[in-house]
Amino acid sequence: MTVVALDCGLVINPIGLRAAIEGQIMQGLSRALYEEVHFDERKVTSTDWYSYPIARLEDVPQQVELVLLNRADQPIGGAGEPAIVCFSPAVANAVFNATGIRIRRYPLTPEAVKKALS
Amino acid sequence: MATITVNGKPHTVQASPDTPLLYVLRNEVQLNGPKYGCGLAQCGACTVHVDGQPVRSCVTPVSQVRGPVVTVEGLGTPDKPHPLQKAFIEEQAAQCGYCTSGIIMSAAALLQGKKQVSDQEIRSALEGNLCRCGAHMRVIAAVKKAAGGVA
Repeated sequence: MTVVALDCGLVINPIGLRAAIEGQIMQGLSRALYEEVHFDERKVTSTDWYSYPIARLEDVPQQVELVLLNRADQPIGGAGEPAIVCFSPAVANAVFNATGIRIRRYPLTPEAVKKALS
Repeated sequence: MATITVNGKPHTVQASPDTPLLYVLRNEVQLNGPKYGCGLAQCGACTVHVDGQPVRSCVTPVSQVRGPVVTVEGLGTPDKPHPLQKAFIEEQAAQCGYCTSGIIMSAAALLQGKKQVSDQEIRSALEGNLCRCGAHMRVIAAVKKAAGGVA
């Protein structure tokens, strides 16, 4: 179960806010599991969507719950990106919870996790 | 000069035979629904139907087009949208919208002749369509909604 609670002060457009958070989940997930720019001695070698994979429809979490804290007495805080920042650490925490190993470098690819576990 | 049928209308191709279908659609037929994304058939933004099958128009030479072409503009009209177009609007299944045309065309191919689709079928069928904003959850919801309304 994926739960994201967001406090952005006064909520003006709840549908738009939900859409933004959903996007942030996918971008946070993408960073946590896939995204890394590779280099050789001379140049960037991540040059297309095969060498720089990102999250796809297959990666959408099965169950997602969003909690919108509507605090009308607070100034408008903006909701552009905050869940992205939290989502990647949440994935890393889940890996820690499952394995007891802290991995402090993204992305958490199968190879990286296997290496950390060995 | 070759003639192709696009959204039910014939079009005489001006470009050379090796020109990607996408360029002909956008530059000659003035259909800007199909998008240029990666140009490598990796992202799906250029997806159109040829003879009912989804193809990546950015890597399809126009001379290889052997059947009628349908783009997102040919699926429905603003007055009478395709069930997928209607569902995508209702579910607000786009953020920047650049991938939307290709996703709708891939989904339309999936729904052809189907009464119901599972979550997993949608995920698999649209796996090759990349979305950078993260509209994925709404895309799944919209395709599911449309599946009920497609004959």
